[in-house]
Amino acid sequence: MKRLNNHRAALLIAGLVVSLAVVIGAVSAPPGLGAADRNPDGSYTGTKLEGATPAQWRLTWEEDPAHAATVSWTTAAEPEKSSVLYDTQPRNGELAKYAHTATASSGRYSDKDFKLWYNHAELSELKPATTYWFVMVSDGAASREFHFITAPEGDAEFKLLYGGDSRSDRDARRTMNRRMRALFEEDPEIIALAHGGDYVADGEEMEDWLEWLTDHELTVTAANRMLPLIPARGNHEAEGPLYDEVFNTPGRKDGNFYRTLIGEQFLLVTLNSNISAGGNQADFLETVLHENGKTRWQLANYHRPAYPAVKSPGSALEHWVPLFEKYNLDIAFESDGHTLKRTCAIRGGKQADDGVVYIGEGGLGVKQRTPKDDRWYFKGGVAASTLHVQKLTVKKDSLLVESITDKGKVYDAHTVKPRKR
Amino acid sequence: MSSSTAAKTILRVAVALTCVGAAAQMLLYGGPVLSWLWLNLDWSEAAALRVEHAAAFGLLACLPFVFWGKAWPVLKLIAAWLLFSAFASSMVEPWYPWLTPGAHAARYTAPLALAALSLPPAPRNRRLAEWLLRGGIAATFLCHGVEALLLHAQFIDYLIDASAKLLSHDLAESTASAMLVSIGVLDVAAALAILLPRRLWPVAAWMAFWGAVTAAARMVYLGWPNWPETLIRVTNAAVPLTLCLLWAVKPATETEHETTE
Repeated sequence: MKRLNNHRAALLIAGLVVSLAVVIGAVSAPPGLGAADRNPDGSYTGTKLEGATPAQWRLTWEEDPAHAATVSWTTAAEPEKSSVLYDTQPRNGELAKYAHTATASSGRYSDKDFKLWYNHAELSELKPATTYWFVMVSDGAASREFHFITAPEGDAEFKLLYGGDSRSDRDARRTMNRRMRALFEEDPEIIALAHGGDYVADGEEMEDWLEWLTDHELTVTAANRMLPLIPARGNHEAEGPLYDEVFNTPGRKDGNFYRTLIGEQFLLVTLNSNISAGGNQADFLETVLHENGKTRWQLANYHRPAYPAVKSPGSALEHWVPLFEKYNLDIAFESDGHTLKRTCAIRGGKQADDGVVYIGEGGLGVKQRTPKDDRWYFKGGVAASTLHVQKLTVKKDSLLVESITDKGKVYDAHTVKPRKR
Repeated sequence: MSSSTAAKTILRVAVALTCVGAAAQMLLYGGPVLSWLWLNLDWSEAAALRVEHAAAFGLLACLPFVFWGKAWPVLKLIAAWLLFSAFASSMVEPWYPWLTPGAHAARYTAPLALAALSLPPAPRNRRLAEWLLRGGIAATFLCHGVEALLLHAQFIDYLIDASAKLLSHDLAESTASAMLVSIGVLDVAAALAILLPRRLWPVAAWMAFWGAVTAAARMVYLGWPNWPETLIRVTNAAVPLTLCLLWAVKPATETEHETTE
């Protein structure tokens, strides 16, 4: 009996102490954010997928955007022949008048539930800084006429957007796509969007991709200018073939890491934080940074952060950061955390005026977390919880990065001066 | 100290450290439950944070009771949270999510085994504890072995990093991948061997060693700030070590010790 009473007393004490701790934990938790960032507008449906009619258009850039681009689209029927007709003059969709044709490769998206086909037309031997007008044609069904501008050559000045994480809040994604379109329309000097990954919640689910692709149409301007995309893989599309089928395998297969040169003084290295950071990819990074040692502006784009605003660091910290510092990278763009961040300049794990700045964390359409803004690298930097996209203004004497919210407000602006290289 | 008491002590310390690691992970970085409730189930961030902070404080409050034999229901509570956390991980982890609950098995079976060992010292309770330990560590090694065979990118980086730091050798990715396949095969073999009716203590000893190495690798790789990741995995070494100690003496002898304790 005494033993039973002892046992009951032990349970009672344990129960009281643990319950009290649970209540204290719940009461003392930080407030977090509400659902105020949601946009209830669900009116947009995008181009209907019907027969061979081209829909879900996108245009991707890879290594040499002054001379090459890939135009991709989706069809609901298997096309016998798909192609892009293009010209340096607008032809208003009159197919016979376009000077050039690029035949597209087509295939069925790897999904057992959806019978849909991707079409990729690789346009090559393009002229730099030139407007190309084009239509996508599958089995005689043509899209309306779009246009895009190739990247400049030489020591050029231009603007670029960067953002990541558009994966799991569709209303917010549409809001941000409209915001990017507004920026693109206001500022024709913007030439492309570098995406930091996590386009969708499940990269092996075609349904998720269909929603993303449909929403991506919102980035096309009213004048039908298409925003080229420079894609990086996120952890939510780490596996499966759909990423490569959507974006025509940027970088080599099973790697998806590559370098993009815009003009002769701007290097963007796109890395894949879902595969080994320290092996072939680190060798590639070192080679690219070494070969482009004299390039004025050097930036990297990858998904999982080395200096995160919320989570713990990824492999980039161990394997890429030393190379960034060795070759004096200017800015590393990071996503994944669902927050807005800009660190102080960092070298050797400490604040240093000549260090690398880490910007991003992903705000293109995902609920935003409350950042851990007490981390040391935010002293002199910024951490906030708001949907956002970064706009880069690349000039000869400065590189300005503005973080722009879904409302169009400039939340943070950071200017980098050229290093001595 | 009898081997049984030593085994229980090791298990108690390991469960306590796991609680500290899991609580620290939730408080410092946010855990899988936060992500699952907030991003997948559309809870508000505030509510999801409240749940995780409550659980973190709860786990820390459990610490003294882990060392009090009579409070074994607290151990079941700890196991329930760690199991729930493993489930939440499988909901938010994009890379082979079905492996997660198995990979975490040593964490949530360790407190259950400790609860069974804290019950009156009957052979049935000891057998239950032993099989919980065996099943938990087997699942953990099996799932980590499969991850290695699938060439988990982070494991490749651990090998490359360890080679550079410990041997000053620049290990090629292809070599690290080949090594990882061998490690995967070893892990799977050890997982199967530990389930054999015969008590193979050398297998348990190997698992304890390898579990300690791989838990420590998390901290060696990314430095001290990664300490919660190491603590969470302490059971990967402590569970097979407990089996080693339990197997060091025959159950009958142990029963006598327990009675006289």
